[in-house]
Amino acid sequence: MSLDAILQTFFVEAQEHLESMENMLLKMDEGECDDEMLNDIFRSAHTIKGSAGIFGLDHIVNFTHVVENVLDRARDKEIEIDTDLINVIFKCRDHMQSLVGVTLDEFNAQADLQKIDNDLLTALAPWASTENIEAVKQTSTATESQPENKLTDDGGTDKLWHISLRLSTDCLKNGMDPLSFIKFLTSLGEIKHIETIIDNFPSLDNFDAETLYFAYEIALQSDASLEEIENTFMFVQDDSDITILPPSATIGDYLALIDKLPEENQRLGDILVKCGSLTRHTLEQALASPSTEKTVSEQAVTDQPDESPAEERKDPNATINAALTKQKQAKSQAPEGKQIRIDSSRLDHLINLIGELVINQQRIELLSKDSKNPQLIEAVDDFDNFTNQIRDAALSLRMVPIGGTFQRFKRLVRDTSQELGKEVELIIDGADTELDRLMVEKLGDPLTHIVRNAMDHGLESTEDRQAAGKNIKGQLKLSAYHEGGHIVIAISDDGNGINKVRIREKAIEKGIINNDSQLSDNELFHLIFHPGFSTAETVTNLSGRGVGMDVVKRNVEALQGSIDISSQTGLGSEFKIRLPLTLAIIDGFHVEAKGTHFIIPQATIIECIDLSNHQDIKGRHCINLRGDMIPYLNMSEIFNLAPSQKMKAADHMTRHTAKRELVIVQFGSDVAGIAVDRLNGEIQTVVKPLGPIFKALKGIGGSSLLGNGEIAFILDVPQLIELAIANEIANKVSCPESINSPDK
Amino acid sequence: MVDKTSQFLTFTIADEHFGMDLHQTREIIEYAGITQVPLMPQFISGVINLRGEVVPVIDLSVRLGRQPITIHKRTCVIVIELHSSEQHCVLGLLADAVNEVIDISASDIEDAPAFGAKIRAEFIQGIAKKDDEFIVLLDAEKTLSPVELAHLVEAELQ
Amino acid sequence: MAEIKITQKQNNSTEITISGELTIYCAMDAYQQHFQQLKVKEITLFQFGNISEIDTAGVQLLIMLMKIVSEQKSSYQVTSLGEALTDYSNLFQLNRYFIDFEDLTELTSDNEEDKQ
Repeated sequence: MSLDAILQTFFVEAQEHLESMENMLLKMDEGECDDEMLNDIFRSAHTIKGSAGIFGLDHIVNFTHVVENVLDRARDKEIEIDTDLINVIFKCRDHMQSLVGVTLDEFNAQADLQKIDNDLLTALAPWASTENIEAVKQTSTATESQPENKLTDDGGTDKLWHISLRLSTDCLKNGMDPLSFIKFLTSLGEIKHIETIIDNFPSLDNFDAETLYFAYEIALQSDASLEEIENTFMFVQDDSDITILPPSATIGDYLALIDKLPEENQRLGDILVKCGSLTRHTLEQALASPSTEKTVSEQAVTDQPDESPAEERKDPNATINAALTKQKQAKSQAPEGKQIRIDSSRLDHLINLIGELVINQQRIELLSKDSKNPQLIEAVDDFDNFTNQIRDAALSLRMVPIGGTFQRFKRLVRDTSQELGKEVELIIDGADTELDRLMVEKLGDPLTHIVRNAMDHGLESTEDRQAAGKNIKGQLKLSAYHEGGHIVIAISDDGNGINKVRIREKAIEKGIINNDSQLSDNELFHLIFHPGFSTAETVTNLSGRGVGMDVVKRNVEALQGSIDISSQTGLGSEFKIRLPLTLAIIDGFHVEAKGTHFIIPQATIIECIDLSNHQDIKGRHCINLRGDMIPYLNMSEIFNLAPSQKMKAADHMTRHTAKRELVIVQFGSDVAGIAVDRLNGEIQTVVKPLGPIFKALKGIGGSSLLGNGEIAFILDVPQLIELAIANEIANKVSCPESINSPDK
Repeated sequence: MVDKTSQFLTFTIADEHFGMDLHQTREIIEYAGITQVPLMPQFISGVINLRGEVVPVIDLSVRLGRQPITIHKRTCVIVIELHSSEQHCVLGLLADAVNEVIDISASDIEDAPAFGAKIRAEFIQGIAKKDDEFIVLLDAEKTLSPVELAHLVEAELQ
Repeated sequence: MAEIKITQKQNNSTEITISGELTIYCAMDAYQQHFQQLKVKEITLFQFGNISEIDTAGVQLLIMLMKIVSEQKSSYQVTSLGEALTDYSNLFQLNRYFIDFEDLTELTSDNEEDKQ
């Protein structure tokens, strides 16, 4: 890990803490408030401050310190939590988010940020203890901050901690210099003694100038908590051996430490004595007795050595305290063992590799079938089975619950409802529905637009709702669920529904449709996705000027998804976003047209039929399938495919057997057929994006490698249908039924 | 300062010699068929499977305003890598033959002639002379800019 | 980058002068180029006064250097320390390496003369 990577970890963690702060604040805002929540918020602020300090991000430290102080006072019931305070803390949280996003230099250069800083500190003043604000205001204006200011300075107590550091030998290479930790420790208290141990230096030839050989034993006098001290070393925990003995530690704890460390016992003992952590007397007694830790600690309790700094440790409770601290430590570390943080690019790499494995496996399967060796075929079948399991397991690594995304809307809804003066209740359903992380990231913006739109345009004003006899509180519902091979995310409101007449008028006014255009409800609703369309009587700063909804549609389509709208006048409307489960690997159906390979996403396919058994209706590309009129498109026509050289050669052989196959696909409520030359069966395939050059190519969503190494194109069905419609219009084919409304 | 020399990979398309900065080239592979991409303009020959990577192949000849290249036994694909745009981009170029890697010092490179050049001047980094033959040094960033190519594709599709 | 000058003097001493930034970015090079094959005479004089910046890798390198010198049975003396190293030494309480050498005091007078 480089320093950048470690900083990145800091950003990610700070982000998580900020999110958790927000969630807690939202709960408090709803009137739930208990000590545990306050504690959580405090801990988040505290951790952010602590880690920021390690990186010298003083702008974050200084500001967060005051926030932390206020939270601490609230925790101690010195101040009362009311809406005003929650509002200020909300703003402080947002400001902390901005602060995390900039470097110290950037902060010093940005007057507006500094102004917010100062304004918020002033706003916090009524709740904070006064010295605190003044101290921080001073430091935030001074060019060099003084870490001493950050801590309450009542140095009276004599709490002596012992810290033993055997840091990872790679930590210098990783950009973590012990210098920064030691400096940070001086901000937590006073370093009474630090012993730099050079025993581990190698011989002349083995010396590596970038490896850390120093080991440290530190006596720190500080009122800080164990957590605070521990957090100092948060970023070097891996591969490092860090022991922090609290002031309450027993002689047994020290002996255990001496035993554990690689250096010679007597020498270590001397060092501990030098640090002042142990007295020579205690040490000698302890080292002399060949006893277990337990008996030694008992001994320490009964023993009364003269004027030792370990004196306070002698009270019988101390042992219990030490045990408790350890237990607490173990507890706080437990979840870390269950979850590991992985750089997402490494995960993507793994999934790519597994994609290749799937392709290879398919190739082996082909070969094994050709070999007609039953044992081989059986073995390959097993292999196939495992490959699929590996694939599913790998993909599941990238799946995350959508709840996190939904959660963020609580804040948006809260703020927006305040701004609009509407009362809104947000209902979240299916928060544990999982989807590809890549999609989650890209869904934020479209969802934000739809939610804002629903609150701004969908839900009526309080007066209107009252007049209509509805509950004054508007309802907004975010839900997620699986449907077939898709994930559906629905955003619904119980507002007034979409005003069809108004949309129609507006579309005519904007020249999007003609006066006499006949549109189905669905088509009418979809007009709001037209660029430059906005129906709100007054354009508010919330839902903007109609630049949003077309972007929403494009974003969703970029994820190979689609969006549907339903609405009932007076009752509300619903936006349904349908997305594939994952973007990396799809289950597809392999077809050929004029020698070109295509893959149709399995999830869109209803059935395959033999086209030669069906007659075109009235000479158009429409067939009658069990009474339904199904329009179809010809792959070779729509993509203007000419037979390849290879195809021509093989043509005379296949001519008489050449059939015309029709794959019936469904997308949303549309049903259509795709005519191809050949069906090659189901295939699992890794999506390979075609690259920026082909961005304008409609109907093809990506490419994929077949078992034999040939390239196939993955069809983007909705785009393909759109393309077919566009072609039809361009060709002025007089077809009153548009291709996407088959059942009329 | 010593006269700066750069290495160029030289290749031939229809008896014309071209050079490209060696740093931009990744490898040269045999032409072993190509998958045509539907509806593409002529300068995009198609895509190839380069060890699991799907790489677009450009007919440089068409891109430079000439006749499409004629595929024969010795046709090869020069794989190049461009870094200038936001994302790095791997492309294949069709060539009749790849000749050699030569050192050309900056002083031996002349500006592209403004007159009568059959190639758009901005595609050319300069002209070098080697053994009485002219070598057109291409500016790959300009000739093969993914953004520009994407625009051309878009125009073709409309 | 640190600049390292090693001068073998007539009077049986070696003077090692390090100036500039002695950090992890150059520690490896400095060690391999100057110290791994280092041969010193009876007395080694360290001039650290012009080290403008030092980190833990740099300090480790100096300690290693002192070990190398001691192994060759040379007596060493730090003749100048500089602000960067003083700060580090104070923070880590390393003065016993850089300032308070108990056993080398008798060399001081000779050094002064050599320098002239």
